[in-house]
Amino acid sequence: MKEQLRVKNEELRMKFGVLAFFLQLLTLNFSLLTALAVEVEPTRLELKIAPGRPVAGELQIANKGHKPVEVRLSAGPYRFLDPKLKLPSCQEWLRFEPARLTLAAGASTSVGYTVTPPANLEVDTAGEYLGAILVDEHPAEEPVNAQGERRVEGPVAGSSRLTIVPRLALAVYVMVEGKERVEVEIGGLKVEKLASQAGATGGREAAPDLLKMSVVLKNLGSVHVRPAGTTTLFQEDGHLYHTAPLGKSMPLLPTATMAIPSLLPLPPAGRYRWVITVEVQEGTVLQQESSFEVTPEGEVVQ
Amino acid sequence: MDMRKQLRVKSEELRVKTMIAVLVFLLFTFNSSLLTVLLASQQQEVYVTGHVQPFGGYAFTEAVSFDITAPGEQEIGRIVVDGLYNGEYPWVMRAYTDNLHFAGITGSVRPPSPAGLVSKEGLYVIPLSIHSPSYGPNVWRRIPDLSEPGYLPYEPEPLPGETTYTDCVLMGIDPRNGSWVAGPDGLLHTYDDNLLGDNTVGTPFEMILQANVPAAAVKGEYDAVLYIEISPAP
Amino acid sequence: MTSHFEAQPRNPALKSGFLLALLVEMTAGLLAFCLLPSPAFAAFNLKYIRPASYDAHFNPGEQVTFTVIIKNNESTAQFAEVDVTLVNQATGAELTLTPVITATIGAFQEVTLTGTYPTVASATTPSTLSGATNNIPEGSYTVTFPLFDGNGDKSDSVRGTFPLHVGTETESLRVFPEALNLGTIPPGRYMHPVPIEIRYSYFQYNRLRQDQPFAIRIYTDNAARYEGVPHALKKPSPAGLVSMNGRYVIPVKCWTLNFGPDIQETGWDAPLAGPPPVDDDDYWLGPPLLEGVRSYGSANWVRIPDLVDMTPNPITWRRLVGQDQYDNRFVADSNVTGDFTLKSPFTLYLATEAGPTTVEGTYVANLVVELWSP
Repeated sequence: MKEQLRVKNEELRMKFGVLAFFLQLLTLNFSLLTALAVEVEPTRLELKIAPGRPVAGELQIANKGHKPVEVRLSAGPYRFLDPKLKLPSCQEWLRFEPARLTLAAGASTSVGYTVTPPANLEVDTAGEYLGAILVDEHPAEEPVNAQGERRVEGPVAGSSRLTIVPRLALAVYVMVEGKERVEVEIGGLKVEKLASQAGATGGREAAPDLLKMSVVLKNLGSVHVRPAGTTTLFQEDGHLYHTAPLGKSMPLLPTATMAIPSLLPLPPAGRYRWVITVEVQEGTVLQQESSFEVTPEGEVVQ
Repeated sequence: MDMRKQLRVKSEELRVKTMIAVLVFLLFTFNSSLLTVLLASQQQEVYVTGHVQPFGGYAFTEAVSFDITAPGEQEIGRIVVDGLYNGEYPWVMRAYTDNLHFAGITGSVRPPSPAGLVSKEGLYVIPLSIHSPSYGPNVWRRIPDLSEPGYLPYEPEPLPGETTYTDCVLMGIDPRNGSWVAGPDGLLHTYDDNLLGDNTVGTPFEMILQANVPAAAVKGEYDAVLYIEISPAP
Repeated sequence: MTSHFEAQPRNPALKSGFLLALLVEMTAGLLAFCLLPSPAFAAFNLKYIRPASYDAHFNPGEQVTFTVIIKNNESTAQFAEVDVTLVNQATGAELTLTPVITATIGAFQEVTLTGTYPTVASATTPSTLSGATNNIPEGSYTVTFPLFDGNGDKSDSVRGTFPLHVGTETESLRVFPEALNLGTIPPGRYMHPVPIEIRYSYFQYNRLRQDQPFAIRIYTDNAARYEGVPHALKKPSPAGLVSMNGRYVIPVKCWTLNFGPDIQETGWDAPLAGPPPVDDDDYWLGPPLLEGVRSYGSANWVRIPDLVDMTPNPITWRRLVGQDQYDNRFVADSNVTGDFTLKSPFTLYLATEAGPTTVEGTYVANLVVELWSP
């Protein structure tokens, strides 16, 4: 009898557990997907501004989703690169007209922005100001029905709520006319060996030792540049061993130092010549070279 | 005797080398097909173009509702992510709160971080964490607040390993990020390297939100706005 | 005394009758043996002791020499005749070259016989000539050497291991269209419905009169255009379509009939149904293996490499058609010449797979189709 009771007890507990689980699912999740998909063009702004003269432009905003959305635009700080740099911000200069709008499903529109510099811009020494445009998507409110009620969609109400807001952050660069100065220098070429380390999952093959070549670029100018270039490695006899582009670069912000690493498997023992060519802007090319040796023991001596 | 042997060996070597040299010379001179390298090729180029439209972006659950019941870790909801984003990479998707109205308890010894769920009157905070499938199993990340002290936005590290930024990165594509490029084995320049640093997750997928309710938390209504931000290449 | 048993008939007439009947029987038997068709095993024992040799390629006007070695395994000298027979691979017409090669071979002797025949240009292509002929018109032929004895019985036969080819050296390549717009590339896998048509003709031979290996290979030439994402730790291949700003690339896969799949293994009849569906991982990524991974090297949709990916090792190329008797990837007992050609013209399909790394924008590529020969 006791055995039967115990078994029945276990059964009941299990069934209750399953029921509770499903109840929990019902009360929590299963809020409707918003199908919010707002696209903005362009995805970055690089503007030139003259002191005392605002600059205006337009953003193209499209709602690619299946439901209407409310789009809210605001200005924010630049948080893309080099967070430790204290660069002047143009967040307060940005205004949008309209700052809030409702877009029907599949609709697109243009939103005007204005960048109004402060009156004392002339006395400031900075050549560039950074900011961001934040585009938030909110579900558009449902229209009110004949009884004056608004249909509220979403999960079964609990006492607490966490609202999820998708956001697009677009970088803004505002350069001051007359104060642009492009000056970049190659701060150094550093070569070092990185010994192979055991992987987190213990990979199938042994990782090779790596050669890390870093080129340091310093922006001594007042505006950001996007340097491009190539890194080339020659063997002692002049044969080309390795070459790779540096890519159309990420912005090198004013006063920033950028270390561009190149990683490749450690080359065989020998002496090598490393040449860096950097095109700072059209027509301005910097070049520097360095030599190093990979010893038979696998060490790198620069 | 030894000397003669050495001389003989050297002589043999020289003879063999001379023979080889003569043979190669003859072959080149008489243009044998075995050594002739005539590049014979015809080429035609096809100029191919194509255009890629934006794929519509990601869609997220609007909101999650829940009740705070007891101290400890508590799942408060799940965010379903659908769609596809194909903006310029490197881009990351990061989550944070922006609880500007947080005030703090009057008279408290040290103000707690404003990151997380904030009580309706703005006095109490419950930290939040999130799990994304891109983290791997049983890995949770704290959701920071934009205005918390010492906030450091995302910056890629070239070598796989620990990161120093504060951002809660949910997923992204960044070929500069050593941990993402290294692939499942965590090592660079091995067979499983992910060349583009593609750390996205196939949609639809779920992210799980968890509240880390401290023992001192006060019962009540909490709310917050969670921003899920995509930052395309700057 | 009288014997009960008479061993022989006493009647002399009967005795003669028996003898006569025996004689008639023997004569009839001998006649029958001579007149009735001989069974095969009745041919004299003449055998080829080595495969026939001849060169593979000739221009019209040149002479072709066939060499055979025959051994007479009989104890008496035998007459041997070799009728070199050519079958046109295009039309199936049979030619027997005259004069036939003949010799009388001594007992247990072996002899080397040769026959030389001129080649001529053909008025029609392909040649429609058939029957006995004393010259070889243009065309490609399988070669057979039936060996007959003095009685006209076939004693042995051997077939040439490679075709005989008479023709004018030619090399041409034509691709249509010269500009291809893929339109809007959708997310996911997508096969562009309009194929590229490739027409070619190739006949070259080396100084050994053997096939000059050739291949039609395809690649992109994007090294100058592709720059990649700045500070990327590893540089992806520039193969495929490159964005206008040089940062991004969309890999492109291609398919032609040579890439399968095998109808026996998959059930997909490519000659009938065309390219296999791109959405099926078995065709796109490769057939599954028992260990849970895929045989990526056996995929039917294959990647188009870039010129910078290609090394002197042909494994790094993408060869569409070709022939190479020195490449063991293609040479087999049933394909001694390493022939993996398709009839001209053949079609090539392109497909893409777009995902989150396929950044919006306009993409271009220079796709090079090259008829290559070392």
